[in-house]
Amino acid sequence: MSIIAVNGITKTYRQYRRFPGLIGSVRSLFTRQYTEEDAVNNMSFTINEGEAVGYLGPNGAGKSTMIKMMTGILVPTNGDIKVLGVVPHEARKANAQQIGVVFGQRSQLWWDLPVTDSFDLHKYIYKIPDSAFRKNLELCMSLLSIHEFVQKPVRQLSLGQRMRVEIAMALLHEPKILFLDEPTIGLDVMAKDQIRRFLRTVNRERKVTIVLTTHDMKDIEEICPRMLVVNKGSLVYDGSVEDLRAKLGSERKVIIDFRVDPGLLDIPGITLLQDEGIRKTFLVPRGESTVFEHVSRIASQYPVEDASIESLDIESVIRKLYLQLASEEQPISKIG
Amino acid sequence: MTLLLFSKLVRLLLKEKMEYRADFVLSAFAQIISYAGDYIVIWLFMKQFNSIAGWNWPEIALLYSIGLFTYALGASFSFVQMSGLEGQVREGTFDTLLIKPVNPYLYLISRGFNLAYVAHISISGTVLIWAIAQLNLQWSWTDYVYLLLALISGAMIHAGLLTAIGATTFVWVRTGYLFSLFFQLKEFISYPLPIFGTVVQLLLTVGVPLAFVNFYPAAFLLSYETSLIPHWAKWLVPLAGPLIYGLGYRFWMYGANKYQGAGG
Repeated sequence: MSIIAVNGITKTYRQYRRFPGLIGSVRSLFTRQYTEEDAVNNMSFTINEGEAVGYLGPNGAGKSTMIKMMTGILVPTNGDIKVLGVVPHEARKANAQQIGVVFGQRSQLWWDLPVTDSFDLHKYIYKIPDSAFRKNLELCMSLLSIHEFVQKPVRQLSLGQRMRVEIAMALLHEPKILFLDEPTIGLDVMAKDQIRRFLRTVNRERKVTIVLTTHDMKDIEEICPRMLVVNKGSLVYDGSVEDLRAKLGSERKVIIDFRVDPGLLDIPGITLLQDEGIRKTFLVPRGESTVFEHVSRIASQYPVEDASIESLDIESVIRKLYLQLASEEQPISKIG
Repeated sequence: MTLLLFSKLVRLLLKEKMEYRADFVLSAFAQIISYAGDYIVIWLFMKQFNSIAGWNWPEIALLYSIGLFTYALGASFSFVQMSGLEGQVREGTFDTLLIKPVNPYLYLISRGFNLAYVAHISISGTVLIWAIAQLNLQWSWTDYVYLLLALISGAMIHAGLLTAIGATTFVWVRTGYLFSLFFQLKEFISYPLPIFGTVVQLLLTVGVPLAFVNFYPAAFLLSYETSLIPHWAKWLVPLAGPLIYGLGYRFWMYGANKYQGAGG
């Protein structure tokens, strides 16, 4: 059953021209000059209950804009959007009660007060019954190890601690969908790991649908079986990480350790990626001859100590996709 | 937005303020000194001229106090909230307001409810009571009801105008100059309206209706003639507040739907 249905959504930002100075301000009140730019352009997709979807794309691709339309913050210029059966910006309150939203770069906590006060206020805002509140709070606090700093003012928390609190708070009212806008931005490896593990648990065990934007491919690999890739406001890929890898990452990375440095090797069909003397890394396309054939050909000519074959990591696959997209790019802003 | 939530917010606000106790006390003290200075300037002025447009010192004190008292009451629910909106819109933190299952306007004004105006309220309230006693007015209970309604209406006029200015943030982002314009105009209502020319009188009655805050109510209470509002309309004056506040609110909600967010 689809709980998010996006159909032909377009969001056009209109920037009115402003003039400098006091006289300019008055002039700005009456001018109708503006520029228009499509941040999201005729986008359609559906997300089913219980899915975990990674939403990614280069900076300025319109990721945040789409999240803001799904959460009811922004009003789309064109198209239909339904979240849990309602139009988010028309039924803001009803929608807000059913979703949880975490902004990696915008805190929703009370800076000067202990964490527990923010939790407490959340209970009043969302009208959470006592027993449910205590149960959910206890679960989130133990899974995210929040207990140790729950009495500290938010301003004294580290970024990782704060992020854990933000995520815990977004789940207290048992939302059906959790939206996260760059939840792991700026965090260290340990904090990222803990948050990923937690989100996976929330998705797999509590069946909360997750939609997250990120620039960290590990977030996608560990949390989201499905990803949507956007560029310049349009959807360019919808599918699993593996399928994208198969589509773009048909190459293999081969690392060969030689007994002695063979010098410059020129083998037709394969490219040298990295040269560290006796260790060389090659990029081998899958074509007429298999990777194994290439390796054994090298081994028959040079003394080879060891060889390992790796598929391209997801970072490289995405990099390749973005590069491909950048070369096809056309500007779509126009002056109105 | 329930009363329960509002009282919870106020409790947290108090707690938050108490984190910076010295700052709170000092700024309240500074406000009292600054407004006491304003009163002294008017008093010295009145000692020299005895009356302006026929109004004597306690009458002017009454007029000025109604203006300050209603401003403090209205601004505690609007000024910091609306002037801070510029920063919130520019940084995109306004987003977080729209994802709560509460009316964003009511949440914003409650979240920013400013206790610091207790300073303005105590000084203007004291002078107001002193002026009423000093004038030795033979007021019936309807006059006291009228004063009470005028105070509520005046607070709503201030809050409504500030809300309307705040609403423009959603389109123009920068609104500082509109707030200074508001405070410039507010200076006019420290004195009786008849001392100004017709243009200013009209401006403060139908343009930016600040004259309804204190001049018209005070004039009717002190039995002064007003050239623009006939005497039979006396009881219509306190309706200006709810009307302006309602319009300001509608305009603000309309603006919030035009909100474009910040890049992110």
